[in-house]
Amino acid sequence: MYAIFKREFLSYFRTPVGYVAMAIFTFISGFIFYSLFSRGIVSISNEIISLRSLFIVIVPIITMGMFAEDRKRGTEVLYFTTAGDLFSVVLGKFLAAMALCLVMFVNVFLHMIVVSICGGRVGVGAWGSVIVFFFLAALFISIGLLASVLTDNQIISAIVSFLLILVTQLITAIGAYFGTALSTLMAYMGFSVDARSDAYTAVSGAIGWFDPFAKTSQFGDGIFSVSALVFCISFAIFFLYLTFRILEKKRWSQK
Amino acid sequence: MSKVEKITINDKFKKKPRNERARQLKIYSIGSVLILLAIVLLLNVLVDKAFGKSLTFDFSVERSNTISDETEKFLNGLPADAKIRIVGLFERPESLNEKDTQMYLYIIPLLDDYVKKSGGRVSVEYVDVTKNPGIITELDPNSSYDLSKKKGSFVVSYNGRIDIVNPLDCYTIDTEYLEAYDQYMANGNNAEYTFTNTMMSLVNGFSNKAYIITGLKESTSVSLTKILNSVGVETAELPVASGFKVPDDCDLIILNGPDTDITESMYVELHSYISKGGRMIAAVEYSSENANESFPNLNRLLNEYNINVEQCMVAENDPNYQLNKQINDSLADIGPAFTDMTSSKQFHITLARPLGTSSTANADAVATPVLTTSSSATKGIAGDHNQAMPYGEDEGVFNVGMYAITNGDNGGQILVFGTLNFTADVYYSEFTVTDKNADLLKSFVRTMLPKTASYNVNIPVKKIEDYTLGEKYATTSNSTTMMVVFMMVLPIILSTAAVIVYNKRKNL
Repeated sequence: MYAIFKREFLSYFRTPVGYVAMAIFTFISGFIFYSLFSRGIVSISNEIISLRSLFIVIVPIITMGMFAEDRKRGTEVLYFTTAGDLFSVVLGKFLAAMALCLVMFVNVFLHMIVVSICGGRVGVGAWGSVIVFFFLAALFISIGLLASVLTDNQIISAIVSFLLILVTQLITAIGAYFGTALSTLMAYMGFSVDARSDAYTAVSGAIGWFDPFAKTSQFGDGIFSVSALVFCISFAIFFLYLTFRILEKKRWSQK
Repeated sequence: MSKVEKITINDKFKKKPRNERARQLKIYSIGSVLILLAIVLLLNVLVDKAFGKSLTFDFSVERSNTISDETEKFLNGLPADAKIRIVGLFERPESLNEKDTQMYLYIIPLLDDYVKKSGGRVSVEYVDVTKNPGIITELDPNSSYDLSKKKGSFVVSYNGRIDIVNPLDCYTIDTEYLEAYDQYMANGNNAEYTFTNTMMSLVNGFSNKAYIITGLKESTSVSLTKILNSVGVETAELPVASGFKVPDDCDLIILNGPDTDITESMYVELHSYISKGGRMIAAVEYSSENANESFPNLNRLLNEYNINVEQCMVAENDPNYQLNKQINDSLADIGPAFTDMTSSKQFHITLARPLGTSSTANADAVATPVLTTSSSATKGIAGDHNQAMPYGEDEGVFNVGMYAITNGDNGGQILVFGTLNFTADVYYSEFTVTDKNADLLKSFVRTMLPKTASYNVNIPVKKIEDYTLGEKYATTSNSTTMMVVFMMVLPIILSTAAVIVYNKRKNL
């Protein structure tokens, strides 16, 4: 696993991918930091919360080539023919992407140091946001890996990854949409206002329950919820396992 | 024929095991994924629903998102079947860090904690009144609160009774900052105090009733109602009419900033009411709308208690008392007889009329100054009260608040303010009902109405995290440096590295 991790992590710096991702992240985080600094009030947790929306761009960039590129070059056969466990391969690539996130995040740590030096406050909410950032990164990178293993085309992989993360980010709105649709349908069918309201709440609540942003939104205010972290990490494990199963299927596929 | 047979035999030997193995692998793959998904879902539901509360920790400053022991005690003391419903008249914001949602930052997480710790007694929901106008009738069937205009506020409902909480009521405002920059800056979080006391008022009901006289071009009294409700006093309007009569259930009558005088019949009725032990609060200011009004009937009533509202304005000439260097917007000292009533020594007054004593002293009544100006104040009639008045006559201390009580077991009580800063919406809309002026008013109401419920729980104001940078660092040059370093230098270095790596490796 370490060999895979090392190879993948270094590959980010042997190709422009890592630098491009870092440049985008640095520029946007720098812009947010500058906007706050120029007002004289800098809340690092606010900055990190804003940066979470960048996952939709950054994650497809750093995960699109992870399996798709190997498949295109034909190097994936190396994983299939070695004695090592394929899950180690998945885990190694996942950890490499996480490590790149950590490197990108150094920029935010720099902002924190600057704020401290300038007499500002890096409160517990900021550290809560940092924790959440990495748990969300784990979740979205596992989704990105799944997208990458589905195809041998990096662009398609990036688009699939983008769409999956987009759906995840809009899940509360999607829940509300379905709730409204059901409520409207029930109105046509002559259900009472209470029944429609209950149906709306049930549907929007059930779908919205899967929203990782909503679950982790209070970390920035200093409220740490273990269940939110369990949600992120358990679903990350699920997506990694799904990736592993798809890879495993390819290994034994006779086509 | 035998050749064909041979192929069939070979297929039988080769294909069957291969398909069987693939089928088993497929079942294993799908089965294991489904089992893992089920485990993940069950684990999350279990952790979220069963242990979610105990596995949530509030590390915020002063645990501002967690209800205090006082509130928990109150909630635990409620009957198990009690249902307090809190409805936010807006959709729950996804982020509390946006400009227009920041005011809910310390409210929404706290309300979540009420729900968690109330054992089902408190529920919170968010309903956009525009999308669901039916909620207005549902909450306020009598249309007493005009909820359609309260979008963004919270409605607290219990057993058919409701009260409104404006998000701004949940904060204390930095008045120095407001005066210096003309911008609101919250310096304290009062959310728990506001919601817990609102719930208490609704649950315990009202022990007194106050009537607010309307029809004299007076100030609106939404904030005053809120203040009175918070100390267990129900309010109702008492319109001026030909047959003006103080209702039998009236414990307190209020004249909130009239621009015209009371009528003769009102004088008779109010005189009769107070002489029988009634209580009255009157507030009158000196504005362009009532500068010509000397309030003869009102003064006839007040004179019997040794108070006289003068037809002029106090000008505060001491810069230490002035606010924004205005002579008509200043601080007033609390009278020595009332210092125990409040922790504040000075209160905000604006456009104040001086309160003199009656020329015909009533030996049965004792009038005591509640609020006084500095010894440098003057008084006079202003052509334009926004201009500095060019006179300095009668320099000295003026009363701008007085409290009178008549001797005897059944003595009436009168509290008079020469300013509207203690009763009017125009003041509280700017400074909120958690302002110290409101505290003084509440203290007087409690004193004047001994039956007032004492269930008002005092939850200290919590600090708000301050992310302001040090003054010497928050400069334009430093901001520019940050922009250059973090938005230009670092991204350009990384982009250059990307180009170099690409050029080196493109032919490999």
